[in-house]
Amino acid sequence: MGNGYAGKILVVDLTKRTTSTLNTSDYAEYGGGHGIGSAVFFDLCRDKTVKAFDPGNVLTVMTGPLQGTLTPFASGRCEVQGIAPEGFPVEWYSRSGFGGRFSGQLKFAGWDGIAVTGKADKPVWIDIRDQSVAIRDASPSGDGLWGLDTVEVEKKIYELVRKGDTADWTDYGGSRDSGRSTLNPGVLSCGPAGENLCRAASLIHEGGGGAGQGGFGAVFGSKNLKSISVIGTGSVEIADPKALMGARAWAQASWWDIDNLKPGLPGMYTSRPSGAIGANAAENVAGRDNSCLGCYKSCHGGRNSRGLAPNSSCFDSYYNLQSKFGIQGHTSDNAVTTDRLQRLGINAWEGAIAGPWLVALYKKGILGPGKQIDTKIDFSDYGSEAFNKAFLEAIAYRTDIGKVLGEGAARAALAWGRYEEDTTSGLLAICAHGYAHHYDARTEVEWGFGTALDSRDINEHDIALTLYWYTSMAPLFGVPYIMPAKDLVEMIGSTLLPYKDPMMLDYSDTGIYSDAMVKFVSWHRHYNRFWKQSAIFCDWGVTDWINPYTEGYKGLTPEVEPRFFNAVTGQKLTFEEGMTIGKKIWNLDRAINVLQGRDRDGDALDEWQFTTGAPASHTTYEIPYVMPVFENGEWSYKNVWGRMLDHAKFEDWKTRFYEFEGWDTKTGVPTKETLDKLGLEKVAVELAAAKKI
Amino acid sequence: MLKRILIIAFVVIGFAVAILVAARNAIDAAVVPIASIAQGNVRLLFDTASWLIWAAVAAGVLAGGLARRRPDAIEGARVLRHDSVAISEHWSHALATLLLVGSGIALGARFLPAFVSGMYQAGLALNLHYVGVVVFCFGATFYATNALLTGRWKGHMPRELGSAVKSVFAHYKALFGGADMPPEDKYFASEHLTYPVAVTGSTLMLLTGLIKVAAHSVDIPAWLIGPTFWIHDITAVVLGLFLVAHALMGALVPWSWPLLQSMFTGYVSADYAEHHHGTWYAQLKEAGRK
Amino acid sequence: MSDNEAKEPKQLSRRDFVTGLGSLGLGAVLGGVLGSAVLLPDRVLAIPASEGYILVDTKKCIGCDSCMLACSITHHGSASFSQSRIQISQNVFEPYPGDLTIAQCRQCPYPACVEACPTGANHVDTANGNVRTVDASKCIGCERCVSACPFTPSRALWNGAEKHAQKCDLCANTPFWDKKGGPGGKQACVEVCKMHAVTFTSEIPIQSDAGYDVNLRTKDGSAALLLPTGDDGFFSPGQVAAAKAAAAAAAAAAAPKAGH
Repeated sequence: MGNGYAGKILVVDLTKRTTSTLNTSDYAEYGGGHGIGSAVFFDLCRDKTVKAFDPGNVLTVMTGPLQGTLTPFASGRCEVQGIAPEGFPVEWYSRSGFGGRFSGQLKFAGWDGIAVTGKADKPVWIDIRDQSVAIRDASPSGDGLWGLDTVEVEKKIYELVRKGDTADWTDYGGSRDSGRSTLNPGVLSCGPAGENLCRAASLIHEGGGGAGQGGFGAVFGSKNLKSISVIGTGSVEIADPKALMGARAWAQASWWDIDNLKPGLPGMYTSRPSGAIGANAAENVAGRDNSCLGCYKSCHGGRNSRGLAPNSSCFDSYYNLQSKFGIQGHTSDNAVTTDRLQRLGINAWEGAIAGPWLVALYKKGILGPGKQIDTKIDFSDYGSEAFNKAFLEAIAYRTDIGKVLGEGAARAALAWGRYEEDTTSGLLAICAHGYAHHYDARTEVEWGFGTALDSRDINEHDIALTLYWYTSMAPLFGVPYIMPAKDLVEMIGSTLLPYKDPMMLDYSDTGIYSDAMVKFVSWHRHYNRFWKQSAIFCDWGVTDWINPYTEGYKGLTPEVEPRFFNAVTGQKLTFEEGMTIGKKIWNLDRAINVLQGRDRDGDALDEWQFTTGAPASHTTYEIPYVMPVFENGEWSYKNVWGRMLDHAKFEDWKTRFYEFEGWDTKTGVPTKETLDKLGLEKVAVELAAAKKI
Repeated sequence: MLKRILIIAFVVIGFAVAILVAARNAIDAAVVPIASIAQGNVRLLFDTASWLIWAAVAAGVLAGGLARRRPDAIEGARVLRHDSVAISEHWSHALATLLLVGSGIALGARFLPAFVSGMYQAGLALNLHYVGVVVFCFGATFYATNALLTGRWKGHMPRELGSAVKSVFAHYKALFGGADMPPEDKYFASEHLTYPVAVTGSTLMLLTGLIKVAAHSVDIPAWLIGPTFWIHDITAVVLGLFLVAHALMGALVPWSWPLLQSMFTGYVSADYAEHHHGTWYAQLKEAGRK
Repeated sequence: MSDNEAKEPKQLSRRDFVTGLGSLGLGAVLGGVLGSAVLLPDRVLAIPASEGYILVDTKKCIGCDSCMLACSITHHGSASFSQSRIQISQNVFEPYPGDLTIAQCRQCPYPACVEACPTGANHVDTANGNVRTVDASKCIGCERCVSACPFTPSRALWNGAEKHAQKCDLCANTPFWDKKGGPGGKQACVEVCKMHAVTFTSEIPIQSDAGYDVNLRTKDGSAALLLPTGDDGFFSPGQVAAAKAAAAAAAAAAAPKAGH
């Protein structure tokens, strides 16, 4: 019986230029996506303490059973993991995700994922056509890919793979039955930023699908790997196709109907998240929205009539505007800048925090021509297209200020002797581990605490979309709340299986350090590790906690996740069982970070979050910050903006979190007992050998 | 006299019945050819002239009924081995089979890819297949009718499995320098053994082929046409191999050249017959004395 | 006849029987041919038109390829791009609207694929609303239908896994779906298209090079979603005018008032 898996994982050794395969069934207990990626990394990366740019770093690009199927929010996702150059001060092993059509092609080619090890002696690209894998010469004297931006390289690869035959069915494999396709291959590439080892270099697919955080574009660059291209003419068998079609009809009915549009809810991006960047009626720049494979939510940007910034969405386009205190939008110059950012392959968040920080230093006379931080870039022209071009190119090509800034804002600040000062004042709005502030750690603590405990900005919008955006925007739009706070936290609380405790959603000053918040952060880590990052369900699809289009606004979580998972795989996995697998993956990741040197001291948030309640320099969207609070014996919606964190309370909370997770309460290292109980015996063995437990 | 009247009467009755049937069928839609020659389309003879195949079948039955055979006989220094009916049957079969196997390989099967690409080449191959089909249908039904009617089919069948196999071993042992050649019949035991295979295979090809031809005129249900295709294609591969073996053993190997010659002239030398087909020669001598 | 004439016992020999059978058969075939060719008038009738067509709006499509996945899943129980009978070709780097085309079967009034098929596998299914479809059990793999389709990419496609040609049958035969399909039922691609960019109609569309590509954005929520509603995929003059007016009003509201 089919189960949604392709069955094999491709392993490419770039040093030896050889390929081999792993059986997906050996790793299926981790679900898919990040879970399998971490498990494969654990097996293939002997020394977890190697540096990110070391050939010993293992990069995995992994799908799961739901990818390439009709599962909304899941079908088009893909997970990338490895030792991440962006992590500071340690390159914490981490992950990033991207969407589009790459994972469909990979699955139909017969691969659940790819693991890349070693380093090629000169630039290469990996050309996968179904089961045929070739490591090709990407150098200028070869296929001429190295040096191209992410758009040009993908276009070039389309030509090479389609053999110029772009309108009709292209034959692959040479015989009648070997497979044909009318589609372009799925391509994942680094840009010049990755080639030049910028620590915030992204991996780009289709111009805008990006694995942005972590700097995995530079891991590609360090391996002399320019692109991975895959065309798949095969198929993936579904265990219960009728159940899958039924689930799809049910989920789809729970979203808007274009023939009968009902209003969404404020702040929740319910009708049209982004659209094509730069499209606007006043200038008659038209465009279409875009969706990832198999999904109907169309959050994946779009394509406009100027051909700029395809498939780019959300923060890809905001980095510039946020810094100008504008609003997310569709202006022409925004499209040009977004297009440039994506082509160079730079993580938009880096630009977002670096920009205002350097402008502030410029205004203080510390940065400028001939100044302490010397640059020829004209910071008085900040925000213009010319400035953006000079700024982004300096980073990507490591020229001018980019020589240092390409190391990431955190390391640049360290090099310039400014780290402690600027992250204490908040001038440089790093949240933790060198990653940019995204949603506020002081107000929305599951984001902050989760980030501190994890390896990167967690970028998981479960609370942010519902109990921040919605709860903050409704009063601003003059729209009454759909229900009182008590009812809302009970509705959402009932989905927090196995606990079902609404107190987990208390964001009051005491609530954020409570045992209930310990439970919630633990729940959040486990849920995201399995259901979102391994099953893989997109962060913009689930959790579906408040649904504007259903009876009583009840969301599809926790039914939607196992319903699709089981229809495709034929399993009978419950939501809670998935949470247990999530706990396993979370502990595996934790163990890898521990091997790299993580302990209680590493579970930290940058200082400004403890010293000031002022907004982060690049965010324009965080006032007010209305969340549910339980105070004086009752629930209400309250603006918790302006809060600071407290070190002593945070450390105490951490201790209780460690205990709850089964980790050593002093160091935060998972205990042998916890690891053994989760089936991670071999992980415990390796930790013991490294004297961590 | 009566026979002639009956033949003519049957043809007229058949004619009349067919007109009535044709009148009823003419109401059905005819296919409008819309793909032009420029697009590479070729009119398929299977569509436009499938009647000729049925005519060939009927003509084969008719011819089989009418044909009178000359029995084998010793004529001085030579022996009549194949009469003109046998010669024409054999070579029409050979030509048809070559055409069928060749165009069949070109067209491929579900489990074998085609060598033709595009509408024009596939159409050409199908039309060549059609020509082979017409000749084969005539020849096969002619042969089957006549062989059954005259009882000559019995002469090709193996006597009894055990002795036939022993005979084959003895023959090849002698051929490769063993003992003396045991006296052989008109056909060697190995040929007797292959006869049922050839007949069964050809029958299957004929029947499945005619079902496929019928599918051009009437809708054949899937439960019939599905197995038909598989049997047709697999049997074609088996018979193709059979053809190779037959051509090899019957024509290419030097010791079969006298037999090859007889398939053209009808005769082998009496000397050859006496030495290589002793039993047959003895039987003819016996018959000649009567 | 007189009693005295000796009657020979009339034995029908096998030879006579067979000869008679052959004569009858030959007569029937020849008679039938002459009959249909000569005695009856030439009646050339058109192939009955399909009772269903897929209409698309390529400007509205969001490129999610759900239609492709639904097609392969409902027909074959497995998800695939290459086995889908509707193909969405995207070149994401071309400017909109040239970045995406939809290649769906047009259920042609005069289907080249049906005409080209030597075995009748590709046929008009009169039991299912005259949809043009391939009976896989009759397909011999000659691929004449794939070549015959006048459109690029060919709407009749080769299924290399199951080794037969196939094409859009308007979901007449979807063993892996519990909805009734065919021109009288539902189509999987239509059901999963959130944008209603792939739709079904029972009226034969105007035949043009646009290939049943029509504007489906004028009567639904597209305008409310800020999508361009013009036939060419751009904003309509009304949309442009309204947006310009709104921008001017916003600018005026933001401008410093004279006299302060």
